[in-house]
Amino acid sequence: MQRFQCEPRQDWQAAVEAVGFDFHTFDAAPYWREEAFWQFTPAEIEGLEACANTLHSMCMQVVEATIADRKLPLFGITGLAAELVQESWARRDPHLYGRVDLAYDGSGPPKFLEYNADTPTSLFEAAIVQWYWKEAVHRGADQFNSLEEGLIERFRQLLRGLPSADPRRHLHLSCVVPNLEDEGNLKYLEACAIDAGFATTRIDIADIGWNAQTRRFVDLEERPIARMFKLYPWEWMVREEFGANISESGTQFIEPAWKMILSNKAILAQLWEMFPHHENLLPAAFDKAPIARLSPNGLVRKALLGREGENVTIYDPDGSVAQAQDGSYGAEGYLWQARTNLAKAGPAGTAVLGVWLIGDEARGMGIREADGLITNDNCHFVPHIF
Amino acid sequence: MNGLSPLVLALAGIVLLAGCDDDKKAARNNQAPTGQQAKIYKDLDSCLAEAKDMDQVQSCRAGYQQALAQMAEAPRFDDRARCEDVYGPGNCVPRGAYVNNGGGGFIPFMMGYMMGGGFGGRTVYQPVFIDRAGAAYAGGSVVSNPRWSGGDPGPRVATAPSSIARGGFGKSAMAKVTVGG
Repeated sequence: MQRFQCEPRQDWQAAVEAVGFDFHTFDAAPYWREEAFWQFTPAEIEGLEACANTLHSMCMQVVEATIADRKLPLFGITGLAAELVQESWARRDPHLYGRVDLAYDGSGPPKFLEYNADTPTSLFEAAIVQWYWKEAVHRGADQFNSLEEGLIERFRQLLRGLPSADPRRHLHLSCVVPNLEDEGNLKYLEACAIDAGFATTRIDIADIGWNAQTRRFVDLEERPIARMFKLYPWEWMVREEFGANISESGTQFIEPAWKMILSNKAILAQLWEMFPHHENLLPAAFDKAPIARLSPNGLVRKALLGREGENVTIYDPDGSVAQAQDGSYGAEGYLWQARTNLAKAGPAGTAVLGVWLIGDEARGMGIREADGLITNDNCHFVPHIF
Repeated sequence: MNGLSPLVLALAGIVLLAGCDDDKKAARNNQAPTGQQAKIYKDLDSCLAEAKDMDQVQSCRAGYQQALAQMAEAPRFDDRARCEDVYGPGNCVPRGAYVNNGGGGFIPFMMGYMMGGGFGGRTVYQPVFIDRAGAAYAGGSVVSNPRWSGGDPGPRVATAPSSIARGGFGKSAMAKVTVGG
């Protein structure tokens, strides 16, 4: 794999806006960057695809074992959250998508950093924006990207066997409004759901109603919500006022509650315990002592429920702090992971490879670059080809 | 406040509603008694016209402002046609007409505003919408319906807020910029 500098398209803003990308720039700084791109060999792409499929399958085994062995408290999942996880897993509530973040610079096997399994974003950029960039700039090249086909297929599976009057044929999609990025991802998923045959309604998460008589969640027109895609963290839902109504409501949530296990950094320690020294895993534990000697490059401390790089601290081998980002997470506890090398992007920058799982299958990839060591919400999306 | 001019549309039938027998009715419906009168005005001027002192003038103004703010909660539709199916032709506007950064979608005109009628005697201010059949809604409840009195769109009691509660999700996000990862 190699990173190339290039000239962005002269009218790149107009070009990406033409495909519906209206959050390409945040606070005057471009989030979408096409003055560079990554080129992979077909073998590298095959390796990344296989790695993501393997990791997903291992993670699903951890979910099974965690619930069977009653280990949810290790994840900080207790009370109502634990009930919802168990119920949704017992029903095998379907999941839609997730993104495994990998450290990979072309040498050695890719290493698993974490699983964005509950509220992953940058889907639209990976599925649409970089595809049209490739079509415009590298028409003959290929791209690890069958995301849209994957999403539509997955939505079709969710409709399979449902009679035409089944309320689950109507998908409500919800996120925090206003938020251009989250709404952009939501609208894209809605378009795929419509393509697959769903009726859809978008609703601000704060507009969701609870009908105390029918014991159902309802939309603004007071229609019951049978199925809802929510771009909103499960751990927030369970602690909010309506959390107590979730089980009773009968609403099928996508992603399902059992994804709380995958999106929790504690899974990294469980993976290392179940599959020690697997080539795609970094040593990880709740305590740094057991993994310190396995981590010659230093350690990374992550909040169990941290998002967007918040509450991540990176330590050098001598124990000094190489980079730290504060944030609002961490009360739930921390996890230690061996530090590994990220692909270099420019003089001080780093790149993380996000491979998208649609259902249980790796279907595409998006690359995000950070100016430093931590990939946070100031990172940039950079396209790729192979 | 652009987009309010269509309020000059006639607002037949809505006048004022009293709490009189509500408490019994509320008890039967297993709802908190309203404990106070709820009144509906078609606009600020009609409220001011009834005001007897400066307190009431203030109350009219505050109520109108709060009802306008509540337009953020108005039923939202993806397209004008679906909105008009419910509220009648010409009775819907882009959400942005009432709501700053209102995004997409259409909502019905505010055809009036209701003051009072909250749980436990709390005063609430709600925008009033009228559907194509002439029924008036405030806070999710029907507050006036021509069918109730044989086609006479006369005043009816205002009910306590409906059994639909909202806002039970989303509070954790208020301090956050984005929830994705």
